[in-house]
Amino acid sequence: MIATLRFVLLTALRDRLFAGLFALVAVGFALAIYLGDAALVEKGQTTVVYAGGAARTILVLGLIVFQAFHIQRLYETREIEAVLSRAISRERFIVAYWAGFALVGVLLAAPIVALVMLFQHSLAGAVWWASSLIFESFIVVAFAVFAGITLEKAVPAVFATVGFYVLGRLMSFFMAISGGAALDGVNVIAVPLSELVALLVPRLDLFAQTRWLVYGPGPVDSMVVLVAQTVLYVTLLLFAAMFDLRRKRF
Amino acid sequence: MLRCFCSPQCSISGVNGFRTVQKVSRLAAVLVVLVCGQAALSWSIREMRPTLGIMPDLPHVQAVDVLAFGDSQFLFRYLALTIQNAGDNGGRVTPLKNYDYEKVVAWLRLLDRLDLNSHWVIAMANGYFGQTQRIEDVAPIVRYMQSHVAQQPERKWPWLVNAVHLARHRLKSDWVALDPARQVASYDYRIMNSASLQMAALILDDLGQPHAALAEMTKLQADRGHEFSREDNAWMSSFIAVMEDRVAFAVKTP
Repeated sequence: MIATLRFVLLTALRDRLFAGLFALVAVGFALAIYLGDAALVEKGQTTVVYAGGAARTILVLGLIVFQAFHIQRLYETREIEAVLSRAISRERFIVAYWAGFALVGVLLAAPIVALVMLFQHSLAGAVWWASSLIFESFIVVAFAVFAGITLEKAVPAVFATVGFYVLGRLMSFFMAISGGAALDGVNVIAVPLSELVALLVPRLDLFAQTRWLVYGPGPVDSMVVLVAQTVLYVTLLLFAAMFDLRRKRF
Repeated sequence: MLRCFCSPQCSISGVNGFRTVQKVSRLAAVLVVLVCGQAALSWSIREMRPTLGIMPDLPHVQAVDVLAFGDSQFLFRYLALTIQNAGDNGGRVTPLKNYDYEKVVAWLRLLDRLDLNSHWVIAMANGYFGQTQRIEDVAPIVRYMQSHVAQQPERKWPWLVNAVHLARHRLKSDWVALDPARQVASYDYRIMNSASLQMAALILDDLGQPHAALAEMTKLQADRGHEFSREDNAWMSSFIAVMEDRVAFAVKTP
């Protein structure tokens, strides 16, 4: 387990993931300060919202691309066969890889969180935002592991994971459709379909809301829901990845 | 024997080198032709420029949900900055008189839907769009400010004082100013100052309505006089006395 964690961390370093991502985040923050200062009022609030939103997107997309190419390389170099030939079960392999990528996510999120803390307008909100950003990265990392293991190639894995992420972030829209539309015409199909999608896809729109950085968590926000969603969905995705890896022959 | 002198390592020499140079020359010629073709195409369509509008068209409510991408606060800040800078980008500055204020107010209401807590939108309405050179456009801004405050009066009521200012000093209409002034007076929060609550009575006096001004100030003193300082109450009493005199004078000289 420790060896796998170290391997993933070394790969992230070798691929210059940390340097590249931090450079992008620094550019994002600089732009956020510049654009936030252009606001007529609430300059600080605007800066922190731009910075938080941009940093979240950069972090998630960076993790997805890194993981997809890392897993593709595992297959191409047959490293995966070498790893699995040792005394490590396929289940442990999946968990170890997820933990390694999740650790990379936490390490990448740490400086982002520190920077956001400098600009925050609600400490409680910033803590919520930081925690849920890490939870969100855990779910995305789990899906990327699943997609990478299943599809074996980087490009479809990136598309699948980005598609899943977009769908998850748009869940509030799907919930609005299924809740407010009249059941006639095309809605006869669209409403149940959106309800089905809403049942299967995690509510990523509830995670890392920049609103918290300005106003703090609201009365309807629940950290319990976020934790439960993370635990449940990460477990589900890891089991799906294990199931798929079990079916594969090397 | 032909030899290429581009660098000492260059291997283009002899018959094969001559052929290579020929091929490269042909490719270079094709490349020049293609570049010229591209330049000619661009020149021929140079008039096909996108027209830069002032205010972007309003998206549908559901489109806003999609655009928010699960983070409505980010979209709010993005759109607020877009509307603040609308017409003043791409190296141009558009005077506010050229803006379609129906569209401006629609955008402001859309932004309210994304975040009602922020002061940005109402500050933009008051301090930016309210300063238009076309004075009649100030009226919808005053109405917008009233409706914005009505949704969150406990936090936003001071903006009504600005709405009164816009109506009185830019629109030059005390009748329009009376509405936000009465709206302020209708709120009952401990933190409110006496001056903001007295505005309706003062405007009615300016409108030549001493009866109404007297009634407004008398009611205010009766209902909330205990919250104000002794000096405030003394001033209100003197205003009431002056209004009573004016009413009495009006009765005597019909």
